[in-house]
Amino acid sequence: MKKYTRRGLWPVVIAALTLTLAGQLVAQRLESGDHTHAEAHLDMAWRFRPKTFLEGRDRAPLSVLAEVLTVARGDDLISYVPNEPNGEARLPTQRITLNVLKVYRGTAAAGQRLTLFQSGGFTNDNPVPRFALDNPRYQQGERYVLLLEPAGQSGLFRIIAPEGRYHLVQGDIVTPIVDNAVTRDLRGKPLQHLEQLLGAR
Amino acid sequence: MARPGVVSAHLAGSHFHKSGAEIHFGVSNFGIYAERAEWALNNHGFMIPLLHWDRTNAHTEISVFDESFPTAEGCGYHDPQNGADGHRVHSHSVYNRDCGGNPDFVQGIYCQEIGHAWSQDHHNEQNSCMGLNYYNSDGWYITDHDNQDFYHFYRWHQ
Repeated sequence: MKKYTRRGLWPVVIAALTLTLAGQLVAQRLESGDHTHAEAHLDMAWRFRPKTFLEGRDRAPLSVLAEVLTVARGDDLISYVPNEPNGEARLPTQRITLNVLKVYRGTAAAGQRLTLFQSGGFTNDNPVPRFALDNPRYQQGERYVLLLEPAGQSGLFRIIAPEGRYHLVQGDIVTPIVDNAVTRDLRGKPLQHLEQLLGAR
Repeated sequence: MARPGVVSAHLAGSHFHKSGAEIHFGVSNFGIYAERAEWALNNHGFMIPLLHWDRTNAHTEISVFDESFPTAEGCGYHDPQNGADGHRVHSHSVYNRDCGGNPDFVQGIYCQEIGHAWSQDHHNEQNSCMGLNYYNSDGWYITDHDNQDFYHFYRWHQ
């Protein structure tokens, strides 16, 4: 009788585990956007594009080495446009929580949390995730050297330009997020090389 | 139907599902800098004989407007909306007023975002607005190069 009862519980246990797993998957999808849609491109004309790495370096009041702790959806940027549905058009944004590992310039300290603003993501009225090709989505655990400036008066930071975002991969090898005349000489170099440029004032 | 032998280098991924001898887009234009947006729209219409703007105040294909976004990284945005089949069904071409009101600059940014709306990508053609704040171009207008891209894409593509 005892044995029979144990066997009878298995379907219940399996069903409970399945529901738990499904719930987690749904929660993850809601958090990060509906990835069943192909990602679209958000085109962006940047406020600033440096002509040299040093110009970008000197533009940034804050330069850090940081790790991505979390990536979350931010408040939409809303335009009030009479012919849009509900009289508004929405641009998606992200909030990236960074753990500062090293500071090259500016007022911050190792161990401090910074919140980064990023244009991109999805909106309720347009569930397709869209990011600029020259500012793709961040992933938890990634490490970057970032050249930052305040994002208005919001208390958030934003990268000065695509030339202000350097991904560190495979033993701290520098991978610029864009490949152009400003960043080309940095690609594939060790972090120490980039740090020398940031520190050489 | 793609025209054999014709490849355009600069067209972005998604696009409106149109082709033929005349390409019409429904376009609305609202905002403080609507006059400069109008100049940009007229420039596209003038430079691209195949392109025809159908002006409307309704919500149709391309909405052009401005707003102030002090936190944002961009002075201009193009935000596409694609249908279930992957084709573009609606586009927002936006100027960020927080970048100021220099008339030529506003027009140049609008020029670029309107180009994105019909699917043109950034490129480094000298004097084309499609490189403004992207390839250090200072162009405020599209060029014949953009016209060629538009023609090769929409005249023959389906």
